[in-house]
Amino acid sequence: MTSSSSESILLLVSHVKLKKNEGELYLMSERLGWMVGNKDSFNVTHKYCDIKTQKISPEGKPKVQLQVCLHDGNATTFQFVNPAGQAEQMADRDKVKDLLQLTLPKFKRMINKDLEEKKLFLSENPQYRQLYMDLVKSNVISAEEFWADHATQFIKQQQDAKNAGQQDVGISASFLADIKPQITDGCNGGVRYLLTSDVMASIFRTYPSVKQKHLKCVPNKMTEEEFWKKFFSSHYLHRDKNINDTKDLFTDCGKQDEQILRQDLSTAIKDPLLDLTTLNDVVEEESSSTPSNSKINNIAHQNMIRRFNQHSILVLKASEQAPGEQALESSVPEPAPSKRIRLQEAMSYEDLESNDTDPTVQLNLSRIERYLNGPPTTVQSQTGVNGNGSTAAHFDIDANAFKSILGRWMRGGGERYNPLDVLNSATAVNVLGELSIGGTLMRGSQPNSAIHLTSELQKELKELYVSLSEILKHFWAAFPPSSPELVQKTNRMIDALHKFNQAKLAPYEQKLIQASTSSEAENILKPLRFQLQAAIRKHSQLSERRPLPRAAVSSM
Amino acid sequence: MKLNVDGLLVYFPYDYIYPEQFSYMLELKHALDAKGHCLLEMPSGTGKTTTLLSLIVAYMKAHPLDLTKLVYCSRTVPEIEKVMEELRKLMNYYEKEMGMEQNILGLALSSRKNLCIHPSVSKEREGKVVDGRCYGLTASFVRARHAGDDAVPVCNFYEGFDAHGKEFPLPPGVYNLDDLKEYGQAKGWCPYFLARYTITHANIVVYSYHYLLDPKIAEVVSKEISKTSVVVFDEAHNIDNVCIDSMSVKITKRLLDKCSNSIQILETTISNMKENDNRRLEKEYQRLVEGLRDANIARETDMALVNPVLPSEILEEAVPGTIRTAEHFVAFLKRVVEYIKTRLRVQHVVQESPAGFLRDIHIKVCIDRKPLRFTAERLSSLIRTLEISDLTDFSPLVTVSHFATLVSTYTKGFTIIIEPFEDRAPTVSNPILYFSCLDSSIAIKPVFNRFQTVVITSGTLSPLDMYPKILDFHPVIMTSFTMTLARPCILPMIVSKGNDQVAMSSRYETREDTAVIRNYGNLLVEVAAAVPDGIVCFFTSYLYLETIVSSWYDQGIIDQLQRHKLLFIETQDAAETSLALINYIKACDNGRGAVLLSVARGKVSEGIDFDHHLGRAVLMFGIPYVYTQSRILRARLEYLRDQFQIRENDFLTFDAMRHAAQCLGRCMRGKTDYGIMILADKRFSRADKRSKLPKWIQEHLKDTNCNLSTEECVQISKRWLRQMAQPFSREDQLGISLLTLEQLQSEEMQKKIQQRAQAA
Repeated sequence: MTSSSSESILLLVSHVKLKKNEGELYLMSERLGWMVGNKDSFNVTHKYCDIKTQKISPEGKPKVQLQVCLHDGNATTFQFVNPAGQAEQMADRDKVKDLLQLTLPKFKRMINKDLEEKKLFLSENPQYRQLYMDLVKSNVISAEEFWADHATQFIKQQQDAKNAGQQDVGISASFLADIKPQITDGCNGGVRYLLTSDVMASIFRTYPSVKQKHLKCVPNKMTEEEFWKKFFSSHYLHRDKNINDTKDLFTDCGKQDEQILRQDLSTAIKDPLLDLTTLNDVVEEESSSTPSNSKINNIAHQNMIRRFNQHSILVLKASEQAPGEQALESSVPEPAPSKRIRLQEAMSYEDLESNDTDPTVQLNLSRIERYLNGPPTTVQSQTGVNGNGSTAAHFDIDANAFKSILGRWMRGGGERYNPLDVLNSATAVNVLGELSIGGTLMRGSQPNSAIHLTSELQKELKELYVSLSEILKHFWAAFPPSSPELVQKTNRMIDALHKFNQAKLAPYEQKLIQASTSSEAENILKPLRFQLQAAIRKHSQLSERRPLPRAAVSSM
Repeated sequence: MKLNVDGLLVYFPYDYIYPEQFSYMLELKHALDAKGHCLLEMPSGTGKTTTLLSLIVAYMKAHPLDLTKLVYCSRTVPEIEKVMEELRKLMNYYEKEMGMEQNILGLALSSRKNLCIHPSVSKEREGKVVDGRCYGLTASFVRARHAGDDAVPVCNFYEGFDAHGKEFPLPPGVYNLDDLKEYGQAKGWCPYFLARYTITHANIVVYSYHYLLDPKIAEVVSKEISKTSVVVFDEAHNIDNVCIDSMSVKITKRLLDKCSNSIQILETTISNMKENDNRRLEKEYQRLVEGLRDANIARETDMALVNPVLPSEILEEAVPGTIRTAEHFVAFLKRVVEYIKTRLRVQHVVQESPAGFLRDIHIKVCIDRKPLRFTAERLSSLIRTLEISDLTDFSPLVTVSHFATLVSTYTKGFTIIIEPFEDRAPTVSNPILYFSCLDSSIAIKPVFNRFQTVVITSGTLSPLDMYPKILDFHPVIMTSFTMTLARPCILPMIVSKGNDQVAMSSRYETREDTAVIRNYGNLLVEVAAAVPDGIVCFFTSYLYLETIVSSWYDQGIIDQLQRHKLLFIETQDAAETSLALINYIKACDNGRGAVLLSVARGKVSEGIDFDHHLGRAVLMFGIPYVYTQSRILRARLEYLRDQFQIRENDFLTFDAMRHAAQCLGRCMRGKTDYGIMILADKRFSRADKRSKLPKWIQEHLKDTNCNLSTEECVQISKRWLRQMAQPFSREDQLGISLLTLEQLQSEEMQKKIQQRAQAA
C-alpha cells in the first residue's frame, strides 16, 4: 500500500472481481485502484482525470457490474460479487457509483478545459497541428513534452491568459440603478433595497468618501444596517436633490466629491485640443450671460447633470485603480501628451501615407549552402561535408578571410570600410571557380533539378523538414550541456531523433524509392540525413567525453 | 507625390491621394486663375487643409507676382495649430524633394494670451487681463516714462523686439505658436509683436476669423496685407454669424453702471492733470483741431483701443468742436450713458432703427450725429493722453463708445432692440439693449473687395446658393464634392417613430410629450446596446437637454443606459465640460464605451472631433432650429426677406440643417473611419430638410432608411456594423477612393474627374 499511503482512502469495497480475480476496490482522492486480495500494490489504477464516464449494468442482469471508460478508449469492468447477495452487491456498486458521480465532474472539468484549450489551439494553428501529428502521433516524443517544450506559442498564450486573469473587473456604471428600490407591498409603503456585497464594494470603490464615512461610523456610532439605511435615504444617493442639506449624514461626502472634482478641473485638463475654455482665440465680450442664464434654468436639473458626470468620472477612476490601493491617493499624474504630437496625430491621414517607410533589411547570403546546413564545426570539416576534400580547405580559407575582414573592420571603423577589400584576389578567384559550372557550389542543384516530386510527396517532405528542425532546434538549444537537466534534454532529443529516423524518415524513403530511384531519394533526403547525422555525431562525441549513462536514459 | 493640376506642378506631401482632393485642387486653381472668389464644400475628413495648402503654395511658387500671400482663417486655436502642422509637413516635403531650404515664411498669429512669454503676465488665464497688463507694460507713454524713471516696469521682451526685432526679419520657415514662443524666448523678443510685425511680409499667415472680420481688430492687424492675397475661410459654415457678432453690441444695466465708474475716473484724472500738466491736454486739443488722425501717430502697441470701421471720408474730417476738449468730451460721454440708462428703464420691448434712435437722442439730450460718430476715436485718444495704463476697467466704456460710433455710422442693416426682461423670466428685471447687425455682408464686404481671391470652404456648406446671397458676393466657382468610398462608411438614417409607432419629433407642440421623450430614450438605449465604443448625441438646445435628462431619470432610462455605457453630459460650464470630455475619451479608449449628451451649436459641436472609436454613432435628437421667438432673429429674418428675398422658413431650415450636418460630420474623419448618423425627427424626411443636407451625406441616405422605427434602425445598424468591422486594407480602397500617382494619371480616372467636376 505504498502508493496509497499518502492519499486518503475515501471508500474501500471488497469482493470486487476484475478479470475473474477477486480483490478490493479502493477509491482515493485522486484515483481509484484495484488490487488482488492479499497483495499490497495495485494491479490497476486509474486517475479520475483519465476517466471519461462510468457505466453500470442494467437492472435485472445477473452480474452486477460497473465499467469505467477512459479517455484513451480503454475500459475496465469491475464486477461486484458480495457473497451477501445481489442486494448487497447492488448497494456496494451504488456506493462506488455515487462517489464517482460526485468526484468525476470535478476532475473532468479540469482535464476537459485543458484538453479543449489544446484542441482549440491545434485547430487554430495548422502548423502546430501537423507537428503534433508528426511528433506525437508517431511516438517520437510524448504529448507532455510536446506541450511543454515545443508548442511555444501555446505556452505563451497560456501565460497571457494567466496574466489576463489578474485584470480587475471594472465597476458597472449602473450599480446604483441595480439596487433600485423595490416596493414590496402597498400597505406598509415599505421600500426594500437589495444590497449585495458586490454592490457595497462598488459603492466603496467609486465613492471613497462613503467608505471613509463607513469606517468612521460603523460600528462605533451605528450598525451596518443603520448605515446603509441612512445611505439609501440620503440625498447623496438621490441625485436630483440639492446637496446643501446639513442634517444629512452624507452631506460632507458630497462636498468632498465636489472638491475632488474642482481639483480635477484645474489639473486634469491637459490636452490642448480638448480644452474648451481656450478654444476661442478672441475673448468674447462680457461673459455675464452665463450666470444670468443659469438663474432661470432649473438648478435641480443642473445639479443632477453634474452628478451624472461626476458619477461616471468616479466609476472610471475607480476601475483605473487596483482594488487594493487606497482610492483616495491621487494617482500619479500622467505626463501631458506633447502638444505637437497630439496635433500631428490629429492631422495625419494614415491611408494617404505610404506604409513602406520601414523597409526590411535584406539578408545577403554569401554562402547559401552554409546557411542551409547550419554552422560548420571542426568535426564536420574533419570528415568533410560531402566527402570532398576541397571544401575543408575552403572553410579554412574562409575562416582566415573572415578573420582578416573582421580585423579590418575593427581597425578602420565603418566609414573606412571599402567594399573592394572584402575578398583578397586569391579567395575571389577560388570562389569564382566554385561558382562556375562544375564547382562545388554549383553541383548540388543540378542533379536535384531533374526530380519532380508529386505534390503529396513534396508536402510530406516539407512536414518532415518542419518536424526535424523542431527537434533539432531543441537539441541544439541544449548546448553546451552544462547542467544535468540539459544533458538529459540532449539525451531525450537524441532518442527522439532516432525515433524520428525510424518512424518517419525510413518509411518516407521507401515511398520515395517507389516513386523514383533510390539515388534520387538519397539525394533528396541528404540534407535531412546530414542534419540528423550531425546531431548524432555531436551527441556521441559528447557522451564519449563524458561517460553518460545513455543506456539508462534511452530505456526510459 | 508630384501632381500636374491643370498645368501646375503641385507637391502633395502624401504618397496617395483621394480623387476628390484632386478635383478640389482643379476647382481651386480655376478660381485662382480667374482671380475670383469661390465656395467649395468637401466632406469633413477628406484632407481639405492639406489640399488647399499644397495647391496654393504651388501656385505661389509658380506665379510669385500674381499671388503673394495666403491668409488662412480658421475658427479655433487648435484648428490654427493643426493647419500650421500641415504646412510644416508640406514644407518638409518640399525640402526633401527639392533638396534645399524653401524661401517661404509661414506663421500663426493668436491673441496675447497664447503668445505671451512675459514671466508674470503669461500666467494669467483670462485673455482680457493679459491684454490689459500687456498694454500697461508696452504702451508708448509707459515706455516714455520708463526712459525717465527706471522704476516704471516695462516688458523686456517688448523692449528687445523694439530694439532689434525689426531689423532682423524672421528667417523662412514654419512657425507655430509654440515655435514663435521658443524663438522669442531665445532672442529675447516678444513673440506676439514679432508675429504682428511679420504678418506684413510673411507668405502664409494663419489666424482666427476675427483678425479679418472683426473691424475693430482687422484695422490694426490686417490692414497692410496686400491685395494680391488669397484669403481662405476654413470651417466657414458659420461665417455669417461671425460677421454679425463682430458688428453687434449688447449693453446691459451692469455694463452701464461700470461705465459711470469709468467716467468718474476719467474726470478725476483730467482734473489732476489740469493742475499738474495742462500742456498735454492742450497739445491733444491742438492735434484734434488740426484734424490729424491719431491713428497715424499712434504706436502699434496702443491697439487695445481701436474704433470700428468708419467710412474713410469721415476719418479725413477733424473731430467736431463739441468734443475736442477733454472735459467736454467726458460730459458728452456722461450724457450718452445717462441717456442709454433712461432708455433701459422701459416696461415693454422697444424696437427701433438707428435713425429713430439718433432722432430720439437728439431730441432728448441734444446730441448730434456727428460727434457721436467720433466717440470711439475720441475716447481712445483721451485714454492715451491721460496715460491710463490699466485698460481692463475701461472695456465697458469702450463698448459703449463703439455702440455710439456704429449707431451713428450705419443706418441700414442694423436694429436696436431693448428688452426689459428675458422672455422666459418675465418677473426678473434684466434690461438689455441689443444693437444688432442684421446684414452679415457688412463686415465681410471689405474682405471681398480688397482681396483678389476669397475661398470659403467647409465640410458642410449646403445649400451652397445661400451663402452668396447672405454674404452678398459673386463667386466664380461654387462646388460641392462628394466622397468617393470603397465601402459605405457612413450610415445616415432618419428615425421617425418609436417602437410604439408614436412619431418622434422635437416640434414645439410635442416636445414635452412623455411618449416622445421616452421614445427618444429607448432609441438611445437600444443604440447604446448595439453600437460599440463612443456615441455622441446632440440636442436642439441646452434647455431641452436638461428637461430630457430629468425626464429620462424619472423614467429609468438613465439607469438602463448606464448598464451599457458610461454617461457624460455637456454643461454650460466650459471647464466642467472639458473634464467630462476627457473622461469620455478615456472611457472610449479603455473599452468601456461611453455616451456623450451634447448640444447643437454648443462648444462641443463646433470644436471637437469624434473620430474613429470616439464616435461610432451620432444621434441628432430633433431639428436644431434656432430659438425662433428671439426678436433679434425676427428682425434679421425680416431684413433678409426684404433685402435678399430669402423666405423666413428657407433661412431657418438652412440654419438648422447646417448645424445638424455639422453635428453629424463630427464622427467622420478619413475614409478608414466609419460611423452611424441617426436623425431622430420625423421632419427630417421631408424633402425641404433632406435636400439641404450636404451632398456627401445625402448620397448615402437611402429612401428606405428615411422612415424607420427604433427597432428597424437598430437592426440595420447591427448588420452594417458587422460589415464595417471586417478588415479594411488599403488594397480595398486603391483605385476607387484612393489613388496612386499612376492611377490618377490614367486616362480613365482623368475622365471620371472631369465628369465629376461637370456634374458638381
